[in-house]
Amino acid sequence: MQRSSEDFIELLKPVYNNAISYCLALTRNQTDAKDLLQDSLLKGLEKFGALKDDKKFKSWLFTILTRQYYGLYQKSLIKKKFLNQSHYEIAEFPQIFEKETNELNEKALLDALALITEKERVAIVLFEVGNFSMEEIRMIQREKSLSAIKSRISRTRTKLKELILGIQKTLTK
Amino acid sequence: MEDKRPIENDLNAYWDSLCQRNFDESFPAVEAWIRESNKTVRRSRLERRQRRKRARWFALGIIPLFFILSCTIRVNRVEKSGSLVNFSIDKKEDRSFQKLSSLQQLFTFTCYEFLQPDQPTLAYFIFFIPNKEQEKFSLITRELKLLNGLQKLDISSINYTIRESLFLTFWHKTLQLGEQPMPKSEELTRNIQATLKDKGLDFLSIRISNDKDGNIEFDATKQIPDSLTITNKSTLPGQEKSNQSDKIRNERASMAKLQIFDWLIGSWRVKYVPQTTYHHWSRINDSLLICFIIKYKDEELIKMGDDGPDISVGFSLRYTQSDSILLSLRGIEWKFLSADDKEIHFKNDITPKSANVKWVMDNEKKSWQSAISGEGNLEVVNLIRDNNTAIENIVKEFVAKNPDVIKRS
Repeated sequence: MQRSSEDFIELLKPVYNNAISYCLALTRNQTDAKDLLQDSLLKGLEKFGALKDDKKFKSWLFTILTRQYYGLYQKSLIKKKFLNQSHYEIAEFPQIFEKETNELNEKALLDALALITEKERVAIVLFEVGNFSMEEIRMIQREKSLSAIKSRISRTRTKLKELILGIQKTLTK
Repeated sequence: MEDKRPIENDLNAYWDSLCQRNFDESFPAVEAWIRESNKTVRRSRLERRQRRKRARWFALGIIPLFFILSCTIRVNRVEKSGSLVNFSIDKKEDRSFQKLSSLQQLFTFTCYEFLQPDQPTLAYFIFFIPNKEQEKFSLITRELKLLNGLQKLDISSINYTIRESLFLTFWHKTLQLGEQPMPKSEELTRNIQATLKDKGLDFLSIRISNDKDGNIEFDATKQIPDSLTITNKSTLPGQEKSNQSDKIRNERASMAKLQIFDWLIGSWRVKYVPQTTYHHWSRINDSLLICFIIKYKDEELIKMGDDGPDISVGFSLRYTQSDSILLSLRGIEWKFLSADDKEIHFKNDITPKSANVKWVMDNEKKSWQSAISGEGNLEVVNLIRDNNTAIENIVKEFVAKNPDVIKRS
């Protein structure tokens, strides 16, 4: 089914900030975050016709962002190369980050996020930044058990606290 | 403490610092980018759909074409048809000859013996095992290596060329499906002859026939019509010198050949006959086995004299100079044809009424059946092992009294 880009823009607008923060939290740097967003938006435009329920746009978009993130950061070089390659001759993606942030809390958080596993990172960021429910996170992460997600998030929160504490101590020294 | 408090109490502050960042300013530019990119995505999607359609049509055309071509193009491939084993044993090693004979019975294969004029002390053997019996082949060669007096064990692969379509090659060779085409007899003969020539054994003459199971048999009917072994050609230089060794060889070979009938020796009671009858097989010498038939007039076995049993000569098995085994009965002779663990066949081309003799044994050779058959004729005798010293003594006495019986046989 063909759907207009206007519909896509309309649905993207309310979740735009969340999507960028999600990309930033996952990639921990602005350049990669921009690339991830660009690739995911392109993928979204391509698959937009398949989205039946507009109410599910957010979880649909975040699922694409997550898949693209996994794809982009796969260890397999072949896969990485394949996924990085854009099928289209497209216009340059606009600048979304004006400057690097100087916010210490954000830096500490991003540094701490770099020290946890991909699965943990995706789960906690979907929960904290995307404000998704445990069930939605289970669906996005394609997990069978809900309790696995619950324990993953709880464990990651504890881990992050310890890591941020350590990072802050280093920063204050 | 000041550093730790905000983390423990409020991790949300860290998340807020990330989530509260506002990127709304960049949205109009992203909006424009989406509109622009959507055009490209649509165009590209259309192109891709067309490409896919073209590829589908191409595949529909190319797959049958490829199939037809693969069925048409013929290729040659070389396959192994079997192994030709050539070895020699010191003639003094009697036990090795016996062991070789047992191996032949155990693994049901036939070794063909020949002599080399320049090496009279060695007996040479050759046999062929088809490739499909590789397991048997490795067991035989392993046992051969253990033979005492083994001088040389030479194993050569015999290959054959299969010409078939590319598709069938893929089917047979890659997928390992279907039945492999068997080599043609002429090609195999040629290949074996070439191998024999390479080994300096080109004086050997062979005939190869493929039986139902694809096995390959050797014989030397071109040389000696009633022979099953390959022998030296008469034109070989220095043959006179080897006459003596030929004699020794023949004696040894006869022993080895007649060993396949060793199970016969002793007494057998004839079943399903009104008169108590025994067959007693005796080894008269290395190349002669005779069966004496003892018929009792009544149930007493030991009684001798006027009321004693009638004794006559039945079958005799003889190993001849022409390297074959002959079965005789009442002046009729049958040539040995084949033998395995269960059956022995003899053939006669002169008397059609008694053309075939077939002996069928049970697994433990405790009983067997002898059948003489031919045009409208079938004579069957069933025998069961009944070793009886009395019978043996009767036979010994009979032989002592009638030495001519053996001479006639």
